[in-house]
Amino acid sequence: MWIVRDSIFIGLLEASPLILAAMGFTLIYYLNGFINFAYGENMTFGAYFAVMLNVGFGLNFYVAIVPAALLAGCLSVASYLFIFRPALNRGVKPSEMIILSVGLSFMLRYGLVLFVGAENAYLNEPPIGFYNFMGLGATNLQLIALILVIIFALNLYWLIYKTNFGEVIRGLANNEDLAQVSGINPHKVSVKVWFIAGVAGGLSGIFSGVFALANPQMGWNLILITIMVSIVAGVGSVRGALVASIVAGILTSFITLISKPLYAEVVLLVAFILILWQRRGKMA
Amino acid sequence: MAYLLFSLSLLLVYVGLAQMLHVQFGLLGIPNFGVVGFWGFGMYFVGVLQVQLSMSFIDAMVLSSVLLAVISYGLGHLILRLERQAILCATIAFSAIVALLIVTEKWATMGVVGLGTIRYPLRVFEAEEILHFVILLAFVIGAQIYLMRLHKSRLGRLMVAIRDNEELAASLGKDTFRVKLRAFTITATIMGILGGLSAALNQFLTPNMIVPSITFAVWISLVLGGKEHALGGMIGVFITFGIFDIFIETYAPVSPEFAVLVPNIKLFLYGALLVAVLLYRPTGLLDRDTEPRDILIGSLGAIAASITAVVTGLSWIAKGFESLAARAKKDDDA
Repeated sequence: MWIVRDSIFIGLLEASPLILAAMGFTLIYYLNGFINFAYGENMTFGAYFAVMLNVGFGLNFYVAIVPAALLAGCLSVASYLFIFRPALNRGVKPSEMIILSVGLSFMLRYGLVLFVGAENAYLNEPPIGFYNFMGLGATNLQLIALILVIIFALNLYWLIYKTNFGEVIRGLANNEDLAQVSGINPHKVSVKVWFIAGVAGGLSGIFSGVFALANPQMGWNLILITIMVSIVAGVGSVRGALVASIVAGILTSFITLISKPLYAEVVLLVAFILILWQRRGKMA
Repeated sequence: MAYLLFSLSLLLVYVGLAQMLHVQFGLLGIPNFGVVGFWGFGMYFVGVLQVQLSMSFIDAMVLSSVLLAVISYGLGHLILRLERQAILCATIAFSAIVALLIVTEKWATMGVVGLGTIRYPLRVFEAEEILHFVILLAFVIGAQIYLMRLHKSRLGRLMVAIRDNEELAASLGKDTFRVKLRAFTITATIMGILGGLSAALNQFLTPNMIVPSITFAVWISLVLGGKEHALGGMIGVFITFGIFDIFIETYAPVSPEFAVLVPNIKLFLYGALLVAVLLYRPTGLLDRDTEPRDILIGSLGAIAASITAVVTGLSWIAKGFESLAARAKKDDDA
């Protein structure tokens, strides 16, 4: 049974950035109803903000995370205010909103490459400690990432399912006209949601190299699996995104343990197409 | 000259891909975001059969097309009934699978080492490159003539009806799914054939040729040129690929330090252009009913304007770089 235990353990460690990304992505999809590819760049920029603050301004490694995530949130709000909201107001259809978001994604990614170059950027890490659990190893950074993700994910969960604000979001997503009649300002709520999603994406980017490095292509590499996980989870369900990302993480590490890492991705992608077909394409 | 011929051949490949995407997205509303998957499948399959099994080019092409047709028929069966966002995700997933398998199946594709050498289909002494270009040109012209006719035909009108309101078309007794499936299978297979032709063009294949930016370049061309017009894809490719990959890389006076940045600037501008088109002119440059005469006048004007703008901009940037370099050199000397 070692293989089950190992894949659960490694899967949890590996899944931690995915959990945040899937939850944030789901929020936007739930509220505005389109797939936002530029969310990948939100993750990339989060990681680069952390590098900038940590290496450029010499901020403490852990302290740098907070402003970096907030900056990523601001980027997300800016993309909503300047690109996506005007497009939604002009009545661009969902399938064209995706193309728009792919355009924005390329623009941000290669704008970043022009600024910082295509090479990896590294953080100044604190000394790495190595811990042993029942014969399995994890570094202190992996464990901290996991704990931070759990805290953030629980907060997000509480926000969506237990607070008034969460109810407002759900109301707006289900029936915008009705929500407006009952005195909800969709604009303000959207800005808040995009901010929260951006913060989650930024954190996910910072954690995804387990705090180690940033690369302009990292967001694009992560966004496909994020979209897969969110859709399989049933888009709109933050709860589902949480579960599906953990399952995807465990499944990936399981297949990686028994074959090559790249086959895990192939299997997940094929499973994704089959799930879409089996659901008759109902995304929500 | 040889390099220009290579670029022009590649331009024709892109025109072909944009024409196929025009049928899929412009006419039928199938958002195929896995263009590079179909193209890359054809390219690598022809390459592998030719290099590893020493098949002739024609045999390899036929075999790869048959296989790709079966695969796209199966994929179409799975996804074409789904809503558009789901089709988009599934086709992206398909292209990711192709890209991953090319890296993992080293016994066939040689993985990241690269696969070569693939020969031209017609081996005529000293003229095979020109002949290959002529084949591509004939292919693209043939496809264009067919597209023009398709737009005026019953099938073309049915396709537009399916795109705009599939339920209505179905209620008139049309088998909309079959039309979509057939068109998707045929156009996806042709994308693979274009891939096979580019295998001979590239001669040496590496997995990093199968990148999403190819899908993206075809999409930006089609959306910019006008997705609903038969000539939209072609005009779009002339503007994007023609300016960046042929004009700038071959003719523009760019200093070497700056030339490294050009591909990144290109993709950045593609992204910005796509955002701008979708926000301010969703139909693209040509809308459905643009007349050929207007296209000719407009494109001549646009070519003149853009060449002027690019030359001015680039010489300006290059000057800036030179003065920066000169200043750095002065600092070094001092």
